[in-house]
This record gives sequence, structure tokens and C-alpha cells, in this order.
Amino acid sequence: MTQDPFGGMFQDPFQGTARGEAIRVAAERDRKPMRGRIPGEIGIWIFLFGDMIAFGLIFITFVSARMDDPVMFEQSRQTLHLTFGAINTLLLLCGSLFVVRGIRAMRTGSPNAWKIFALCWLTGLWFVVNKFIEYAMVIDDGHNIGTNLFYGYYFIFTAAHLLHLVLAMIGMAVVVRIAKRPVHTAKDLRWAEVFGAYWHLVDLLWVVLFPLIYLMRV
Amino acid sequence: MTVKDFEPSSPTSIEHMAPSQSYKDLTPAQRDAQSMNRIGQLVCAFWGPGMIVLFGIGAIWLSGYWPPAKLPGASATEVLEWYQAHNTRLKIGLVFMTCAYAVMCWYGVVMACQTRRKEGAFPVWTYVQLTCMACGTAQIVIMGAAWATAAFRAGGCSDKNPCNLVPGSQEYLAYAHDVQMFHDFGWMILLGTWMPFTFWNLALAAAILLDKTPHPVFPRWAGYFSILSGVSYMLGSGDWFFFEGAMGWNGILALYWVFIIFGGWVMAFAWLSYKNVQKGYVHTQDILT
Repeated sequence: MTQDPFGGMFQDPFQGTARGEAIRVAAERDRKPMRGRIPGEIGIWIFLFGDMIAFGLIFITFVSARMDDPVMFEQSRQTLHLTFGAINTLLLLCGSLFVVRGIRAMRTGSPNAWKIFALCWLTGLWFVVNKFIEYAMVIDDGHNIGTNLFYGYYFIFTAAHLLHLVLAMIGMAVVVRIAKRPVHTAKDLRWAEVFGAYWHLVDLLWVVLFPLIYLMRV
Repeated sequence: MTVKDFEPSSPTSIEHMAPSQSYKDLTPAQRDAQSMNRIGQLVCAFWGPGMIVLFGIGAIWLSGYWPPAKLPGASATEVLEWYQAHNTRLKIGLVFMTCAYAVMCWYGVVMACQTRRKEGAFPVWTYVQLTCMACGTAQIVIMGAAWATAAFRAGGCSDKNPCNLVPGSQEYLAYAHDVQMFHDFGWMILLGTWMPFTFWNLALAAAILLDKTPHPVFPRWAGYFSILSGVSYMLGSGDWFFFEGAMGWNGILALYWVFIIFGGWVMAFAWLSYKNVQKGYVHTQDILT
């Protein structure tokens, strides 16, 4: 590899050290060329696009149902707790930021990469806790999945997203474990990218779901 | 039994095949040795698309269950009249449909056989696939029986259940209610009991993605696709909660997306299994102990 694909953005803190040499040897052993490389592997992108199609159908469903009964949808929307939704959006965006920084740290061989991924995992945990509190509050207000179509869709679509988030947290836990290894190979980096890409998907889905359900007025 | 019982036959024996040797390159004696298992795997792979064809004949053409002719919100009387309108044709369609669900077992076995090659003496992912597949098949075959019960009672007469019920009377409504209950029961099973199918898909995905050898059984993208389909089946749960909309049993999410992705998964793996068999990966085992 003669060209720096990042154009000098990243300074290698281990340049010239024994540790840096060990990292370089391990990385070169099974690294594929960076140029034209798909982050992670092709399979995860098949999964992401398929999931996006499924959630696209979910979004279309919600909009179409709202067009059928805009008054009921607006009345029900106003009973939701927007603060939780807004905090959750912030949490997932921070989580995505941590994923990016974590992968960057892994690429430069930083020993702190696992801490950044752990922070990402914690944002996910906070999201889950928030979600349960929010569900409890909505149910306490007297609305559940069978109350009307809005609440039915609200519960089931946000629950579907929550399930995706829980899977992303499991993936992030795996990445934390990988990142804790003293030397990262190209395969380790690929696993981080796979689960990082999945985390970004979960974030993307919430960024669309939140305005759609919580914010959009008729 | 000892470890020795699982050791491979000697390298010179007929059964020991080089993995990349296509069937066409084998000697006749080698072909004979491989033939029974190879035919079995090809038949099983064939029943993937075969299952879809049988389902098309039964559910789409003959019975009218797919797309659902009677929506979740239909009244008991409507459901009864629908069953009575084309009763015999519906029952014949149900036979085809139940056959389609039963041959799912054949199809599932070929993928399990392929993943078995990589697993050694205690093929846990294969076992999970087979048990989930068997469970899924059992429940879906019962679904066929549930709809057949509805059809039977809707079209049948006996001295205890005379046909001369006055429409609109209490007895007629009770009769229609019984038929509707079994109609609903079938739908609850078809979409709502996605769990064995999801675990089946996830076990297959694990067998593919956790494989660290240079020659995995199936390509890695197939493992991710299997996770996608497994997770997609979960949308079928909407069938238990919703009477209308995209999550009801006629809905784009609970019915169509689930079926489309299941069909895609079946076709993809039937094709991959077929290719594996043609390449000669019939019963060569990479790990035996």
C-alpha cells in the first residue's frame, strides 16, 4: 500500500514503535486493498437493504393509514411523550458518532477503541430504558395496542425498532470484545464495520420513525 | 461407540471424494457409491420450488386463501357463505396446500445435510434446524386441518347438524360462528406462529456465518439473507393483534412481505443446495469428530 487512502487525516500514534510494527505486520497479513472496498462485507448490506424495504413498507403503511383517519391520528399523536422521543433520537445519533470514532480508533490501533464502543452500547441501553418508561406512561394514560389503529401501529412499529436495537446492542457487545484484543487484524475491523453499519441502520430507521409518528402533523 | 466409529473411510475407498469433483468427472463406480444420497439431496432441493408450486395450486388457484378472500373483519355469516360457495374446490385446494406444507420437511433436510458436513459428531446447528423445521411443519399441517374442519362443517350435513337452518336464526349464527372460529384458527397458526421458522432461519445463518474455514457450505451473503428472512417473519405477529390494515392477516406487512421473503429464501437455498450437490459436495465431511 503506497498511497494513504485518508489523505493524511489520520496520524498513526504508534509510528516507529514496536507496537506499531506488530500492528502493521498483523494488519498486512490478511488485509485486502482499501480502495473499492465495501465496508464490512456484502452480506450485511443485503441485510440492510432488505430491512430498509421492510421498514419502507412500514412507513408507507403508517402514512396511508393516517390519510384514512387524520383526525383520530392527530388526537392520538398529541398524547405521546415527545421528550422521550427527542432524547432517544439524540442518544442514537450519539451512538452512531461513537461507532464512527470507535472504528477510527481501531484503524489507528488505539487501545481505547473498546471504551468508545462501550459508550455506544450504553446509549443503546439508555434508549431501551427510556422506551420502557415511555410505554409504561402511555399505557398508564389508558392507551394500549388495541385502543385504535394509531396506538396499534405506534406500539408495534416502535417495538420492531426496539428489537432491532437490542440486536444491535448484542452486536456492539461483540465489537467491544473484539476491540479489547491487543492487536486488531483486518478481520476484526471488518466485524466492527459490519456491526457498525447495522447500528447506523437502526439509527437511520429511528430518525425516520420518530418524526413520522411523533412529530408530523396532518 | 468410540471415536474410531466416526473416522472416515480410507482415502482410497470409493466414498472418499475430493470436494471440488463434479459428478460428471466421477468414474461409474464412484457415481454408484454417491448416487442414492445425491438423488435424495436433489429431490429435497427440488421440493423447495415444488412446495411453492403446490401452494400456488392449492391456496391461490383452488381455495382462494391467498390472497385472503375473507378479511379479519368479515362477519361469521360471510365466512360461512364463502366456505359453502365453493366447498369441494376449497377442500381439494386444502389437500394441495397441506401437501405443500408437508414437503417443506424435504426441503429443509437438504440444507441441514449441507451444514451437517461442517459440524462433526454433534451437529448442533443442524439439530436446531431440523427440530425447528419439524415443529414448523407440524403446526402448519395442523393449520390445514383447521381450515379443513371449517370447510367440512360448512359443507356438511348430519342428523345432528341439519342443513335446513334458517339464515339469520340463532342456530344459523352459532353454526357460522363455529366455522369462523376454525377459519380464524388457521390464520392464527399460519402467520402468528412464526417462531420455529425464525429460529430455523437463524440456526442456518449461524451455521454459515460462524464458519471460519476457507470453504463455507453456503456463501456468506446467504447467511445474512437468512437472518433477514428470519427476522422478517416476526411481522406475522401483527395477525394476532390487528383486524385491519397492514398488520392484519390480509396486510402487506403481516402477509405479503412475510410470504415474499419466505419464498425468496426457499428459492435461494434450494438453488444453492442444488449447486452444491452438482459440484460434488454430497457427503464429504470436513469434520468428523
